[in-house]
Amino acid sequence: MSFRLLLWACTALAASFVLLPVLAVLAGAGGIARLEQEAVAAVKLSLLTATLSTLIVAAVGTPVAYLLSRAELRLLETALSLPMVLPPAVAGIALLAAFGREGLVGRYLAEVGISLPFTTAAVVIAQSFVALPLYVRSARAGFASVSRNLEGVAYTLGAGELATFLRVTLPLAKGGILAGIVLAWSRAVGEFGATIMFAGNLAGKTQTMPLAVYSALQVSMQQALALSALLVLLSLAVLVTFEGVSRRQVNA
Amino acid sequence: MAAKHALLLLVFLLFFQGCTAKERTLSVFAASSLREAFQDIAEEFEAQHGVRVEMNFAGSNTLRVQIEQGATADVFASASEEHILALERKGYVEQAKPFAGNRLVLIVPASNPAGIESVQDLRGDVKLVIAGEAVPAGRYAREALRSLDSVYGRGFSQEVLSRVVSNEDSVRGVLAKVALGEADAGIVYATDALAADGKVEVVELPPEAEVEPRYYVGVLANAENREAAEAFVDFLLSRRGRQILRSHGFEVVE
Amino acid sequence: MLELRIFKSFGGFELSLELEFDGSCLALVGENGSGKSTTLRCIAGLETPERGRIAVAGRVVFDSELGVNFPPQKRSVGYVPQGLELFPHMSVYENIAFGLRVRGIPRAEVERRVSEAVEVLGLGGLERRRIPQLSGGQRQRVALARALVIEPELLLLDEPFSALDAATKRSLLPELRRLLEDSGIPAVVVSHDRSEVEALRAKVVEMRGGRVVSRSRLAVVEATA
Repeated sequence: MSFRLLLWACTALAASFVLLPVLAVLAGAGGIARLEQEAVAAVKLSLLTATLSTLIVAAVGTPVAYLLSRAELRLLETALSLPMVLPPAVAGIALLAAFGREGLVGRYLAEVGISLPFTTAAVVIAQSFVALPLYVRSARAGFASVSRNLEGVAYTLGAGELATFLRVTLPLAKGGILAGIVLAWSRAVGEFGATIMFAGNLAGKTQTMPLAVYSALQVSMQQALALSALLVLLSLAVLVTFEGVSRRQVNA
Repeated sequence: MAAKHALLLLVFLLFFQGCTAKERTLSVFAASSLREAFQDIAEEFEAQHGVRVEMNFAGSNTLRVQIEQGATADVFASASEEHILALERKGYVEQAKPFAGNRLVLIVPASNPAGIESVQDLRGDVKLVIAGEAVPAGRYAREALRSLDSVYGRGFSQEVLSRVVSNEDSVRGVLAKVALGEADAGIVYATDALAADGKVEVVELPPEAEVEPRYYVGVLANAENREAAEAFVDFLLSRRGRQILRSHGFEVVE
Repeated sequence: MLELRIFKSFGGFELSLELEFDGSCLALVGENGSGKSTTLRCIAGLETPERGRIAVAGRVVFDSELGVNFPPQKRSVGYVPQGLELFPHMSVYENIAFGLRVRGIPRAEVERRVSEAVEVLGLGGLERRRIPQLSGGQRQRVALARALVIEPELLLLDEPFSALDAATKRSLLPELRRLLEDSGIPAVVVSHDRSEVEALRAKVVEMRGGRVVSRSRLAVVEATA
């Protein structure tokens, strides 16, 4: 009896720990109506860039996740997990070192007239950089749960590798893939450190919601609260939607 | 039983230790442009008074919000009157005193990729970085540009401000972007350019850019270490303090 | 019908098998770990022997000396693994239709052939059911239907009855025998239970430790250790 009590006590503690700040932020939701133009621009920018980043990450990450689930590529797996453990500011510096004006790749891009820092594209790059490992991990787990024997039987029935992947493996990995999408989107929306370093902070172009919150914070707590409340509500909406979708898919 | 006693003793000691430790630490919130100067000042102050100085550097507006939200500090040094006066009015800070001045300059990366020779070149297709509006350095920069409208024509400041690609949260953020070579130009304090160790080149602003950055310092009303706080402010305003400031490029109020 | 000469070593185990078979049902009998399942997988093309030669219906699908190694897609074998491996996200109909659909066979034809298989395997009325809703015996039939409907040259069944209770086994055994006889498709059955394979009237090859240890009394089977 007392073990169960302990379980519930810990759960209550954890839940309050998480919910309290969230509820405190939502208390400032009243100010959403009074959000300035810049804030609205930040919301639009965040939605656009996060969605784009998630699409890119899913497109690039799915084949990688499948490969990792089938082949023992420890080194690659570790390398791809790096953006996840890097402090965001370090990630930002790394991106500059690669794509900045004097960066490894950036210098050649500059010659062709392509300049990435301070652009909306840079925001997408920064978000994709940090979101990719999250997606790959989750999708990989999804693919790993599909037994190779199942794929093998599909082969004997005449299905080529691509056909098997599309008809058998992918549908069965849906759980991990959808979870990965939610994770990637959330991480992209919340991305701050790498964005501010690599893309800078300009309303309408590179000022995503987290940056807007941070900037607002340096001026007025009320604005920051209202914007944060909006961000929380948005995240909740996405979470609930995806949970619903994934539950229906997985049970289908 | 003995374990319980030991635990209590340990907790008591830690608490007590924390108490006394607090009396021997001084918490200073200072504008980011004061970093190097204050590090030197703190070093000497620590040696003289045996008090450890912990410093928190950020844009003055950020520090102000932190203090408003309950951050514990003993001393606040702001790069503009605006933020420290606001705190004074609310009773967070006692008697703000001016202690230094500065100069705004235009900086470019050492390689000067956009070939900027004067502030007029900012009209061209360049990537300009300045601090955000609420940051003193950002406000000063905008004021300076606006005052140049009388010299270069009414649309000048607007044109230049349209070249801004990022509003940094502190003047050191601006310095970093220029030093890294990512921005073509930035507007910072002359003291920041000095601290950049050769990574940036200075382009002087015309004298018509009338802006007088002024630094203020004050003791926080709820300072935990009032004695040391007041001693620190005194040291800052003393001849030795002014000497150190001057050596870092600040203009000192006599 | 089936020409088999394979050699494969893995983890302290050596599989060495040579036999020719031209009957309707060949049974590989032996304890777990004697290499029976691996043999089937090699025939199906899901595993590759180190050396050897495999020919199905006169067609060489593997020959290490000639560098021939057909992928499983091209071997025309119907493989029913021990776990059945039915597609859990598809209905009974879709499972059976899978092999036909991936060949691009037109829908009407697919429907015809699947209906036929459903009829033959006694799965009428279950087409829309999901796999988790089926009983053990029903699943077995779906797996068989799925393998048979593509009209393979050879059927491979790995422990087809091991997961079934005694009653189901008793009823399914004669059914399977009839099925094999009616379809005319030769089968290689793996089992650890001699009574099962006797009921199927199979030619028996006993395996132990990766080798054949005895051959059936019928002379058609040639096996060397």
